[in-house]
Amino acid sequence: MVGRKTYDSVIIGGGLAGLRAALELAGKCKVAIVSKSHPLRSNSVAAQGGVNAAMSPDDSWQKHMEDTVKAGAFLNDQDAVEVLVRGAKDAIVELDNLGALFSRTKGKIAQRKFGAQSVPRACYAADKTGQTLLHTLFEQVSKKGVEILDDYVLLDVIVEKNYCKGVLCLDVRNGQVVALNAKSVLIATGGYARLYQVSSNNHCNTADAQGILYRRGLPMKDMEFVQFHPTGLFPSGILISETARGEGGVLVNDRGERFMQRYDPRMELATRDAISKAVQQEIVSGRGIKQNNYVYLDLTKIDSKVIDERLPQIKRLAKDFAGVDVTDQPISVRPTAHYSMGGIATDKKAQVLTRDGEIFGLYAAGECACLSVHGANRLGGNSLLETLVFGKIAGKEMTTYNFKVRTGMIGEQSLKEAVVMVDRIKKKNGNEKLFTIRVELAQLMEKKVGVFRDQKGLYEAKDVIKKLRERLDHVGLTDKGNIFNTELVEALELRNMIDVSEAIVHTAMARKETRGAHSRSDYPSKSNEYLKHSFIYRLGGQVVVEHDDVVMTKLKPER
Amino acid sequence: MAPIIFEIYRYNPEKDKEPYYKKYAVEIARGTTVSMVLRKIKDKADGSLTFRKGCGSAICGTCALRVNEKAVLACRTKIEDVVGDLEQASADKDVVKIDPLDNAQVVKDLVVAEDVFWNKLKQAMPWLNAEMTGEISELSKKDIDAMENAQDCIHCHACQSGCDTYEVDEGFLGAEVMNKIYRFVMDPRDRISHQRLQMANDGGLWNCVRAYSCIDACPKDIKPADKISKLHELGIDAGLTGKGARHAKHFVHGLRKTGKLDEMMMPLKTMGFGVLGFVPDTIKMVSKGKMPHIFNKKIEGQKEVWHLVELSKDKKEVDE
Repeated sequence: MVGRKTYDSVIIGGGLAGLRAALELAGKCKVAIVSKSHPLRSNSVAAQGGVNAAMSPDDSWQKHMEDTVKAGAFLNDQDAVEVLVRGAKDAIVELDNLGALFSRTKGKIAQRKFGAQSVPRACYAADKTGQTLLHTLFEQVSKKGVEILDDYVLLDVIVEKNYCKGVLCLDVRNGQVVALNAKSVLIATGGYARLYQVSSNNHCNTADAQGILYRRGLPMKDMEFVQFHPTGLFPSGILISETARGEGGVLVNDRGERFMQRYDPRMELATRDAISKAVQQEIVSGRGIKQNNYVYLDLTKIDSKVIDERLPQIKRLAKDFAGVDVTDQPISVRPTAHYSMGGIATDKKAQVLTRDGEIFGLYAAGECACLSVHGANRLGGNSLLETLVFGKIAGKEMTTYNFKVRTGMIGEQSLKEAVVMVDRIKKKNGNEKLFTIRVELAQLMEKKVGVFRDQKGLYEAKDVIKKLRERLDHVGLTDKGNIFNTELVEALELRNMIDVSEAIVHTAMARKETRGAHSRSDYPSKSNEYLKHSFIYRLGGQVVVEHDDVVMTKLKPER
Repeated sequence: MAPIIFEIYRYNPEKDKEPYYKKYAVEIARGTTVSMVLRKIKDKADGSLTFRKGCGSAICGTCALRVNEKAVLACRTKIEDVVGDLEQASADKDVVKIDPLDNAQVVKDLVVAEDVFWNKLKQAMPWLNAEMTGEISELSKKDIDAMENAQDCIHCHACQSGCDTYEVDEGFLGAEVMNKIYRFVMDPRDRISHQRLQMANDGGLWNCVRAYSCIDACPKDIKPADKISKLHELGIDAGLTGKGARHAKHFVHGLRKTGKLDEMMMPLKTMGFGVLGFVPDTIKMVSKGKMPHIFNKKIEGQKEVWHLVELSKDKKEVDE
């Protein structure tokens, strides 16, 4: 049950970063996009609010950089940030020329205000910016005839003697293990927020690549920084974009109080970490609506014409998933796990880094990568930007690299091992159920590794995760077939989710401070000792956490 | 409240000679969606139940299926909206039927193959054909509004599930593709509008029978059939001919001249020499006494009929 295909480049993930890289490679190299479902279903499609670019006369890339680094609590690598913000205007013009229908005002591309930004610089398409960008890039990638391998799940990344040889995938449609030989591989698989019980993410965002590379001993960077978006619909966790607050939406507690006034002078347009903490604090202090675990996001004072024009998707989401008419009722919201600042350690050229030595031919871009451009907390509108800028860079770098090397062949042994592994999971008999382990993990992360963390909770989490991993070994699948076995896929996913959870917990334990999205109730302040990135990797059966310097070129924190 | 009964289409090509339905009783609360029901069944009762999972917020388009024969997005369809009163439905032992999308090949259970959809889409050259100017495009809000939300399509394929034409006509590109063609025809930057209209014409544009199941099914309120009608008009304006266009023109011509259809001349004007293929049917018709009028006279209310036609148009009349 094996197959082999050969390409110059294989891109894992058909979201914005993957598609943008493919566009760069197409026509010059033989490239295939591997998607767990289909590129159009990627999590990128759900992004609502906007993509940042300094374009107006009273804005500059320097201001954009300053806003980004301040929001990131100075944990951003400033050389990477500079690349990000300087590439912004070109990225917008390019996407516009490719067909993306940005909203206009007076003939120009409209830009809206987002949290913690000094100037309105988020370019948007109503509140469906992600959909517009994703569909446009998919259209252009289709035009170039790039091969799409959909319903392909990543099983392993093969590196031999420091050279990436390609990947092993499961073709879900027929259960075959397929070796994709390649000169270069781009990981563009998105983040790990789906690990949490309440999340805005697609159900396919199960951190497969992070899990696989972590198990292979590669370092993951800043994993403890999980962004909780303050306004996820209750109870689903579906995103209600920051845009709603940008257009005048306010947050109120049980007393009808705009509680942000007690937390941050920027009110509802503070950074996401500040607002999530405030909302969570209100809930924990019993000021949630009717003492429930949510507060209200009130859009009733916004002109209904503005809602229809700029927030139509939000209006529909509130109606369909919460039964609320936003023009005359408030929406029940609470923090939802939304974005991963942490991920696969890469450099500015999108190359994946190791602890020592180098790996050639392995790249990562988009949310799955950690350069870091976002530091300890991401600005709204910078994630879509990251995918476009670093997706393009990855594509360019891979094109150059491809002309220097020959395609390797993935060894028979690796292929055999993967087949054995998949077979073992299918054939195993056991009493544990996938769903119990998955739900326990999600609830554990929500309670102990959520908005507020402490030593006791993290320690407990570490132990539970160990036990969950052992229990996973005793799961017996009902579906033992080859064709479209989604139960098998979910077993593979769960293994990755457990391993990535371990990485988050260990790095959260090791960071004894509160910075950005990482909040320790037992260490409530920032500490200069931790003005460093965290790196976590496995070595000889042990988990190792190290801290290393941040690249600071132009901006320094106060004190 | 007793659980609600779901009858779900099952088919595993490795095990089953034929598809069958399996019943499951599931506890439902207010707000429970079809996706949640499927999830519950897979998690707790039957791990082999196979369906697609995605965003859960009606934007990725992966979860379309049929509930009680109607194509919907599973993540957004609440059981209480399907059955009406939950209490009543459980008391009456109402059954909710869940099937995969129609007009598609089933891979397993509720998962259908999408290749046919993607291949048809590609035929429409669904990408902007314009210069990369390096400057922000000259595009106004009015230009974007003229696309009438065609760009909102999430490619869920629900529109094709119930389409009668799509079911029988392999050459019909389908509502989803016609909508995409409309989006690009209406984009002022696109350089190949005429080619696109021709492609629509050749792709069964005029085979739409206006059953409107696409309008019913579309979760994004796109109204594909209306876009198809607009493509009809745009095609005629662009001078494209074909059976459909000629049929429409002659229709209007007949109403203007006499106030009624000239049934005698319609086939001839529409199909030209192709009308000879209808001779056997015509003979059958005549033998049953169905003979159209040979000489068409103006009817009494012709002026009123034409007035109605004028009222329904929003631009000047089509000239032959």
